[in-house]
Amino acid sequence: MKVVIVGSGVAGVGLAEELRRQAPEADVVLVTRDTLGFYSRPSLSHSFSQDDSVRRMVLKTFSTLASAGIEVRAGVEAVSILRPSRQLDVKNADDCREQLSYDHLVLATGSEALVPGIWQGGREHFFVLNRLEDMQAMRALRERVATAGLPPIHWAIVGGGLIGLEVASDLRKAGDGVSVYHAADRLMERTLDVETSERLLTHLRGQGIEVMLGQRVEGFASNAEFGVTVTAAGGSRTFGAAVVAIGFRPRTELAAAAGLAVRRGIVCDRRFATEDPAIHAVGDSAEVDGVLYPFVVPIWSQAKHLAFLLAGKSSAEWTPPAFPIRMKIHGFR
Amino acid sequence: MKKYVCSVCGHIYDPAMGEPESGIAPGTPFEGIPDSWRCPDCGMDKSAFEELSD
Repeated sequence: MKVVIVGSGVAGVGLAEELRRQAPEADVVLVTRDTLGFYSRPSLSHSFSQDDSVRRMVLKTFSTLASAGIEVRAGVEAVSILRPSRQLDVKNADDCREQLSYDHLVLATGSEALVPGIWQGGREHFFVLNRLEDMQAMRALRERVATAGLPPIHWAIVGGGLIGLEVASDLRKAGDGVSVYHAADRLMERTLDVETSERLLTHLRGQGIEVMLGQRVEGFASNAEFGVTVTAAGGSRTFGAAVVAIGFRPRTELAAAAGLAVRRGIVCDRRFATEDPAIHAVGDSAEVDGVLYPFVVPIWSQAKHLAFLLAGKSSAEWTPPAFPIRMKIHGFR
Repeated sequence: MKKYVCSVCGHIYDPAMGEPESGIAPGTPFEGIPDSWRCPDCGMDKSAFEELSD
């Protein structure tokens, strides 16, 4: 049996490692455009105030995974799925194309930061926090500012949801200035009740974070002297740098181009099968029986469950485990 | 006492520090943490933790 997995996040790596245990005879191929290894996704939003003594960013190098018997294809882009011949067409780092045959293909392609079309024109003027490279770019900017002896950066954080506020809280703790733009009239309105929203607002303001509610950002422009100009209903202001964190978008292009059903995520059943029984989806990109599960605990559970299914050791449908949604806002509970 | 690292999010459990925010007193070895404890960062259970080798 040959299993080709696309994606090296929690879902892809969790599945590959469990398959090694549950189906030792299987060939497991991990196709990933990443080159830096398997890294911590949850830490991306709060890795500015902590050093490596309390947190690891790269959890496993690809050579560690390879020595565990996983064939890792790093720096490789999955281009298209050739369903009739059960092959994945990939582009290697040197631009060479190759077709990888599979018995089972697993799409663990994750999600990217949601950036609405109206902001695409100013895309080079703000950061997002989706990949390790994004976090490293923000860290590098902070280091350049510190090395040059300049005052700390004042950041515009666009988005008062979970990730935006974690970033805001962490940059503030690390000593930077922070202003949050949020389109709704209260913070984390989809997750928190009114009272907790209010308490969180008071807490963040008490930490010295400026929070602007009901402020829909219209656009970003470069500022010749300094950073980025953010335009919202209340006017234009200039900041040292900006971060957009308003949500995520599952990466479904590969599945859609292969004619598989896609809604918010790749449509699959509770055994993670798409309408093509040889193609599965897990993780952020998977819409399991109509629901997205963009959190570590259920995704890890999906990966383990699919490994047992592919190994023929189970035929059960997956049921999501109970999981708390944890907010990493410094000093708030 | 050995430190442990969460294999999913990289959170490090240092027995010298404990996890006061989740009720684990400083000086508690990893083995002494109740099984109901969850990684304070990503929510995984104790089985996701591995001994820190270096």
